[in-house]
Amino acid sequence: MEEDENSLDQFRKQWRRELEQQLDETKSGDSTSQENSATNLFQQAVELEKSKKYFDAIRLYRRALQLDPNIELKIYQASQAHEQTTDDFSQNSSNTFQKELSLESNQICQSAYLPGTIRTGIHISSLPIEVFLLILKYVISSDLDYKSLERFGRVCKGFFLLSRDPELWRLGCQKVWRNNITTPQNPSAWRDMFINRCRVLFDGCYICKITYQRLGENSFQDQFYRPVQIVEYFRLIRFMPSGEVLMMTSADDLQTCVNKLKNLKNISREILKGSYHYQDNHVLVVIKKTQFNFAQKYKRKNSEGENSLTFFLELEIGNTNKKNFAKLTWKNYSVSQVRNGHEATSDYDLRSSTKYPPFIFSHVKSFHNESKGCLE
Amino acid sequence: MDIDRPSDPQVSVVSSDGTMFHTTLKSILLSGTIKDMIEHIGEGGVENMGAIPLQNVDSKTLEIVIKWIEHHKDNIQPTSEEIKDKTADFIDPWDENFLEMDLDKLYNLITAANYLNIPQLLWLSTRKIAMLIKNRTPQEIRSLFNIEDDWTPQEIEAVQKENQWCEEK
Repeated sequence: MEEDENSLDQFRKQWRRELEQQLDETKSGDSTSQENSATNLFQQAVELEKSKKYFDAIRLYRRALQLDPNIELKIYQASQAHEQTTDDFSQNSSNTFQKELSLESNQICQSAYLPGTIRTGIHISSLPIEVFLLILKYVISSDLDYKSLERFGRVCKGFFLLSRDPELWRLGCQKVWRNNITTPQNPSAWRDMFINRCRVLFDGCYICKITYQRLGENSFQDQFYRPVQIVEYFRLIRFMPSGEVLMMTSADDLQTCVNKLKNLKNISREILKGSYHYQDNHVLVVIKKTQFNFAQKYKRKNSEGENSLTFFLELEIGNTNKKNFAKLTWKNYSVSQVRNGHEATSDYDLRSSTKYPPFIFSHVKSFHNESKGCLE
Repeated sequence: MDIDRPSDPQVSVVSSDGTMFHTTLKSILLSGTIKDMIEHIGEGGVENMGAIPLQNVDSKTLEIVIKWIEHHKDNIQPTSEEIKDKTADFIDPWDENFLEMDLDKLYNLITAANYLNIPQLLWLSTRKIAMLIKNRTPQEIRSLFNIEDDWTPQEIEAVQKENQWCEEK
């Protein structure tokens, strides 16, 4: 690790020195100073284009071309020459590949066919970049399946670059934190935000297993026989990127419970549906359950109003030693009940660690099998 | 433009390799690109219009596209906005069957749907590729799409480290 860091550091220093030397060299001539300012303009334009300020970008491109009509080729050659000196792989790898890719933009990846093979069809690399990005939005889909995106990025260098497209990560951040985000200065920081900022995980559910012992009834025949019953049940929570949350409590085996949470179209009656939002590193869950009252059905319309039960859960998001954000610790739990127009709220005592153990995240592969809409 | 009129005039299109195809106005209007073009010509111009040249679509692909638009010409086409929320249950079994084709053909179809701006067809075909990518390992994706592994061992190790956050341990 440390050795890697050191060599990386050295590499960076060397790189900087080279760049400075190049700058000095170009400064030396008069005609080169024009080229130099053209280079600057061009690079600014590239930055503007990346941030979608096309109008300003075109203005700068035009000025750069007026100063030096061959500026694009020159920058290309300079970056090519520079790349050949790059043997090490560094954190800035993405920039290096970016140049490589944007230059041969019609070649995202290499076909694995040998050059001699006769092929009638075309290769996936012939698809335009905008189509690739559209495909990736369906890969991520509204489920935010960024794991599949990261895996796609490990296929080859071209795919790696596509997988790091800031827009794909920006959309994810926006979906998770809504308006509660500030645009980072560096577009590549969207990915860091998505990975490191506190949130809940979506590709599975949080499970809390509750076990306690209860003394059973004395046996009628044998006074000394006192059974101890172990009661075991699960509480499961599944968060959705849409801001919805499903919660269920069940004594069934875990597999059955998880399967029930899988099907979102046909939510079974024992599953409670609610919403959640973040407050710093806490997640607040509100679930309202409207009870269907048979007696009410026959009453006049303007009777006491509906009966409802509302659950408030405040959970702290924490890390397990395996995975970030995989643990939810109970902070507050209250239930408020409205019956015949009267409201009563009861808080639960969370000190008993047997009844309120933390929720632990469990990955469920099948939750992300389907591409649910487009990331937007 | 009134596309619901009873008579549905014939329209011809020519592929990049010079083959001419005949279809109807109603079908071809599913292509946003051609719809814009025809709107520029004006309603009266349609009858006198010659064959529409499509430089970016070859005859094999055009044949597939025409089969699709003719099947869907009477369906209300969703807008691009509506399509974004669609899930698999919206897929018509006919479409599911239609998309059973080689990857080569599918790439061509995607490129054509993109160029002709047929949102629904683009959605169906890109989603199909997306489903092939989802939940697959890099090696599986490489062999499925015939992609060369161009990483050096150090590079892939570094990338793997960066992607560790989402992998199960």
